[in-house]
Amino acid sequence: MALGTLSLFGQAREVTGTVVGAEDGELLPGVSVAVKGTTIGTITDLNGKYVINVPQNSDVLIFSFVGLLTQEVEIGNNLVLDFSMELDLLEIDEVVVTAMGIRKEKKALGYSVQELDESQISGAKNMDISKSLQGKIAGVNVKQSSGMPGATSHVTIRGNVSLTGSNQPLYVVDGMPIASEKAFMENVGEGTNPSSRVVDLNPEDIESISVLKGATASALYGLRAANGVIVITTKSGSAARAAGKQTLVTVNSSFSSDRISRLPELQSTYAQGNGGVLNLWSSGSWGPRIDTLQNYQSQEDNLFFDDPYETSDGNPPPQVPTVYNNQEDFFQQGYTFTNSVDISSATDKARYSLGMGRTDQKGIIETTGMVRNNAKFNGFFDLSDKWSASVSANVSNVDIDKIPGGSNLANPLFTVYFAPRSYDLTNKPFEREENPYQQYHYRFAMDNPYWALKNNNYNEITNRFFGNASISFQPYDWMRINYRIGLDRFLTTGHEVISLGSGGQGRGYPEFGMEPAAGQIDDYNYQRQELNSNATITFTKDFGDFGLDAVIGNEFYDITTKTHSMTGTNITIGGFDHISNTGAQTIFMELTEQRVVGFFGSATVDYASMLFLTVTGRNDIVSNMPSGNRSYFYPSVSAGFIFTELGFLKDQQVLPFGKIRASYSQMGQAGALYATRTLYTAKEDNEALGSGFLDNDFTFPYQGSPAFTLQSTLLSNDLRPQNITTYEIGADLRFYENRLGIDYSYYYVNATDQIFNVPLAASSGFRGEYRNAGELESKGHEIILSIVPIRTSGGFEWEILTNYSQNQNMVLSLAPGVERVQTGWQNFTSVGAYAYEGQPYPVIFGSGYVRDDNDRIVVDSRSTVAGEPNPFYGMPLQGGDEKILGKVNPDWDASLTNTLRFKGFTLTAMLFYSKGGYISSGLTGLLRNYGAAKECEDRETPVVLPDAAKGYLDPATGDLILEGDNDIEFLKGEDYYSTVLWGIAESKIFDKTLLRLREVVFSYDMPQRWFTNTFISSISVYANGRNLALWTDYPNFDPESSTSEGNGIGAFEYVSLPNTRSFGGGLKITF
Amino acid sequence: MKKYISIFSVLLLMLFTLSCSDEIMDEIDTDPNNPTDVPISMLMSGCTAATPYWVTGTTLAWYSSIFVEHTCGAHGQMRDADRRANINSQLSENSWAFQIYPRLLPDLKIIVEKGSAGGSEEGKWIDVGIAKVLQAYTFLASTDTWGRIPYSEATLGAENRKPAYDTQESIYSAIMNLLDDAISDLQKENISTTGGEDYIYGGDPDAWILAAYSLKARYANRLSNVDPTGSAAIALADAANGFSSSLDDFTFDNWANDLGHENTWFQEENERRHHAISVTFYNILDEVNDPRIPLFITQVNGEYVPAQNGTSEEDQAGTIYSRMSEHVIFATAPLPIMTYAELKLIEAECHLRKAAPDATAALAAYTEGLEAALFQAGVDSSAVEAYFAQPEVLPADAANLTMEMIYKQKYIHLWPYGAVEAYAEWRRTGYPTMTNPFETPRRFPYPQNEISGNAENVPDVTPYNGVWWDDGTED
Repeated sequence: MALGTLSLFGQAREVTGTVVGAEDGELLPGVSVAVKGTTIGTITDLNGKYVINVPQNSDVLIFSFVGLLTQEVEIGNNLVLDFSMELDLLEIDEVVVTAMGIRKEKKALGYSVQELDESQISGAKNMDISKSLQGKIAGVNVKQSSGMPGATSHVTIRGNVSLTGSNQPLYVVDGMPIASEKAFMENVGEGTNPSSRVVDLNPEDIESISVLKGATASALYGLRAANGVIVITTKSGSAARAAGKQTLVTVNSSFSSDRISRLPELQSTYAQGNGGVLNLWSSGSWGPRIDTLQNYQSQEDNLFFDDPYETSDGNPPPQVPTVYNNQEDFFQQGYTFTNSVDISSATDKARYSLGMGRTDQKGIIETTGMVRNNAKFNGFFDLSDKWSASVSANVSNVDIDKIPGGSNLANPLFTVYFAPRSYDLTNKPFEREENPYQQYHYRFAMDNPYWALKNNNYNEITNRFFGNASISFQPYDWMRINYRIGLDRFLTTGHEVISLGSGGQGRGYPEFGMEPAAGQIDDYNYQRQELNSNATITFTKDFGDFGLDAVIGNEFYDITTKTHSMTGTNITIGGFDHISNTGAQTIFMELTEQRVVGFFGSATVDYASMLFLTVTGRNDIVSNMPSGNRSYFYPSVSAGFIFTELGFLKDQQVLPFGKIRASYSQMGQAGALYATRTLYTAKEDNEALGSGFLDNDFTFPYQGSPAFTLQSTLLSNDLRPQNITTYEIGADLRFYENRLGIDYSYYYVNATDQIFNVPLAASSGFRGEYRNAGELESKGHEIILSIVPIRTSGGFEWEILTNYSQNQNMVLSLAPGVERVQTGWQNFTSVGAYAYEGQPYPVIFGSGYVRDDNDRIVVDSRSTVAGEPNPFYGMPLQGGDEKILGKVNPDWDASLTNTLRFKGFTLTAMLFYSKGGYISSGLTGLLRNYGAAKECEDRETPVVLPDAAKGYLDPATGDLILEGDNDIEFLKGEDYYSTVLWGIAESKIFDKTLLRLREVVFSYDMPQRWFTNTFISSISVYANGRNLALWTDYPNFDPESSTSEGNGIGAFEYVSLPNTRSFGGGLKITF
Repeated sequence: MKKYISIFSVLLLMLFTLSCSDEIMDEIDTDPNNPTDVPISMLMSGCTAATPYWVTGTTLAWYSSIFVEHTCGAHGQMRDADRRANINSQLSENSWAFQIYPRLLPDLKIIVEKGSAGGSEEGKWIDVGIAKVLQAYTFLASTDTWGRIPYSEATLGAENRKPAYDTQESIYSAIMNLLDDAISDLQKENISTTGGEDYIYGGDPDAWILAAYSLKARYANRLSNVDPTGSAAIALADAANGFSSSLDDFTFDNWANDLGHENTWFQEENERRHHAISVTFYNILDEVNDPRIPLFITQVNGEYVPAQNGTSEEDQAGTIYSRMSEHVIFATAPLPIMTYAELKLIEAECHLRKAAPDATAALAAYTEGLEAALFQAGVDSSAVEAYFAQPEVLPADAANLTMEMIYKQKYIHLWPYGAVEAYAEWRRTGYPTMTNPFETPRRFPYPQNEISGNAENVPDVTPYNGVWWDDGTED
């Protein structure tokens, strides 16, 4: 009766209760309790208790909690309402973050979105979040450059569709796009590799990552999202709310030890030299057998070419021939420490999180390392019933010490990998006592690696701020206006020193009156600023069985960059690394600005939570397209149909949830900046006088005169944006209480009007013409399969998750008369990464073997040439046609993650398999060239190349003259490896199929009861490992490391640092 | 509340439309790094450095040096070239497709257009003349290197993306006229002086006129196989107006002691170290006890150890073979493009070959040329005397002067910096006899860039076919 009275007088009533888990009966803190149809809500406390005021007209409470089934309960006459929550086994009400930060139920989507939670992101303690995506999201491919601290990784989603533009996704953090790609491109053949700016993010700050794979998913972001979007949400106090505490402090510390994953395999039989003769100044290992050598004097004892066998009194003891392990000695054990604190807080009106983190990494090469400091704040505030606000701010400081890679003369690895086994690189002195800038080294052009580590210096520091503030106004239940403004600004300062006395430029020989000279100091600043403004109005309203969910908005962004660099050459005082200490300086300056203004709208209509239809449209106006041609509109449409909502399929056990989806979208991509007319450019940097041979260009201004040259690319003002059309279909099926789940997608992407530098015959006066031409397609299948083979009532669960991706992309056409276009690294003339008509993109193209009609290698049949013995008799002929040597990207890849959970224990292991794809291994080529490779061990057994023909190329006509099957014996020695194979690019191409145990994480959450009556909420300890095992036929190196830039990454590997193999552990405490 | 919404909307709308007007977007799209136009002076500085750098002093020279056996490839690409393992389209890629055609020749053409009648800097005739001399030299050295090349349709940009290849005969004839034009331009009234941006002659029109005539003589002489007497007469007439002493030499002498601005051969010898002394070259010096040996060539363990082209060992370190000496190869060593000494040797040859041979005049020119060459090499006078005492070097009787003596002295004089010219001269004269067991190419292969981008026009020849002035055919 009392209740009735209350209703009668229109007063609110107070309802209380306790919430427990249905499975184990434990009290559940943090459960959200809301009154249906109102904004009134609360959460349960630590004891699972709640108190809520229910208005007179309301009679239904909604209980919700992550991972549990959201349920509505009628209050009826109860003032005490205890409730037990059931597991949401289907997770069909899962809410995901979609474009523009709009949260949508996953079941409403007509396209594929995949999410990672906190433990999947930071479980294995990858320092770079892009690396933790590998294998965890179907369709995402992550290519790594090297194991150097801060090394770049390159992410593509569903393959490459742009020939020369970026194929990397857009990163959005807390609702605002941020810069993610490397600050600038450096020729990797020369300097050090700048880091991609994803490295600025602290994985520990991240709550979830949502990957919008296709263009439909990312359509609202416009031009820059053509390659998909990685939406990152940082922690914001939800954890505190979930734990039912006002403030939750999480401290996380971890340590890992890093070792080199793989070293080249070396021969150990032959000594330094050439032609079987000991030569202590040779870069080759083509000398005599080490076991036949007598004692000899080392290089240092007679620097100037006296007979190395000659000994005299007063000299140090002669060198005893032996085999050294120079590689193993050089690399050390690296380590990584990470420490982070997160303070999360949640009240009725606000929730926020303040995080701080520090990462210290010491590389596997002594002087390399990285220190990263992060701080971030992310908060949400309800200002009133109608107004709310949020703030997200991130500050980072990343300090990286590294070494140069590639064919840079100062790359220490150039000697480490190839040092003759008879040469004691580790223990010999590397500098002269009387002058430390006078190095000892058996090689002339390259630096002694130990000397290089001591004297050369490569440092890159980035200070960055990014963040945004937003305010929301909700005048009506069905309408919400949001404005968000964001800034991303960073400054990278680099300081690179190639020391006085380095390399061939200035080694100097005091005996010849030559003191150490040369050297170079580079000092650069790169500043980037991105201003983002975003205004949206959203509408949500139900009309009977129909629901409408719409947004209209405007986005504006303006990106400016400023680069200043100084290069000083000819250092006077060794060790004083200041530009004033150099004899000549060149400066470089570059400014850029780009602005895009976009208007967009999207509407989703659903019918009976069964059929969902979304249409979107966006119009972009782009500064860097020609006037009169810079405004573009792109539409998309997608639909989802939950067929298990149909009457005859509803409420059955076999397939409780099934959805099919389909989508179509168009999207554009603009061209490069300032690419609409041919200008003059200063003869500095790329346009300086270079030779293709020498290390240093002839730069201007010179002797007071600047110099300019007409750009060698023909530009015109009729560019259109490249157009990307995407079709996608898919299905999401959950069987037997979600014990088996299959999510399948098929996509087809067609990109026309590619904007690229169409090559021209140089005799036209230009090397290329920047214009629209060409068409690429990319299609593929993605399967996400989840199986729970075992789930016992005792709490044991075994879960298997598989991500399978197969992508086939194809260059359908380039420009009329253009068969191929080079992309990526262009440093090698003999081999390159190309877009080639009718082929996957990219492919490796270069000189092949000379082959007969049966595709057999043809060996040289001439025993003599011009009366002299032919050194190449019986060896493959040089002069084969240039051809396609292999495609770079894998045929398919798959990951298999097994997770075992029991009580507080969790064991997760991920195996990653990648099938196919080729790489040009400069390292293996060089190992052979120098005679250092294991395969060069047997030089004394005559061999006949099998399955080959013999013949020769007629010098006059170039015609191939065949002389039958090969039966010629020869010795595989210096001429074979150093000249013949070295000259044939095809000999260096290898399949990079691999199977890798990529991640293992073992963690233990200590039982709550251990901490009752303490300030501690929970403690978990964990052990983890990365890249623990590798199975591959790829020789000498880690097939996942490569030396390249941009779209050519993965095509080449050239004397870089392999990835590391790590294991470690840590501790996470919350209180 | 409605009021706020409408104010908010109006403000936003203003911001959005103002921020993307065509005018603002055009301004944002204006490249702040690169100008739409530059004056002649800013192009000239690049061209007077680029011509010696790209045509005379880098890749073309290094390969030519190996082919003509001035040096022997002791390492890497040069050893491969010596063993003919890499005589393919990549050999020419840098020179043709990155340097000469897309960069150097367009800039020279713009200078000519800007300074000539109707151009934006009309009346800068000295610059026009200089640019024409550099164009002439670049085109001739290029046709000598490759044979038929695009000339009349070259560097037209969007007007002609696939230029036709002109015959070498027509290029030679056109360039002789171009040099005449240059000479006449250099004599015209000039509106402003040229100075520091000309790294070769500092803007001195008279010096450029001498260079133009001297080049005319060199390239007229090149046609000796096509027209023995006529070419001699023309060469002699032009030589008379050419250099009058070594001080007039057409030389790039503006290297500096800092990275990148050092003599290109010095950089190559310091960093890459591809070249050893060729046994062919050494023997030619050695057979007449040439005083330049100790000046030019280093010793290994107290001995001269030249390398046999085609079969030498790998020796980047220089522990096996003799190398070019620091006397010749140093950071600021001048890079001669054409010298007075060479001009005199051309005269000597033409006096012997002209319709009415004049041995006395030939010997006089030979002696003068040889003296200039020895002086340039730094040979002291007593050594010159001893050298001249040998009749096989300097015959007492003019009648004993042979073509081979002239060729030989030119071959030595062009070592090492005149390799491109020496390679052309070997093909013309057959001197010296190559000792590399592998056949010597008679031209460079066309670059891949042309084969890909201009396939219909690229001549179908092999590097072992002679060019027009070599064997009389264009193929």
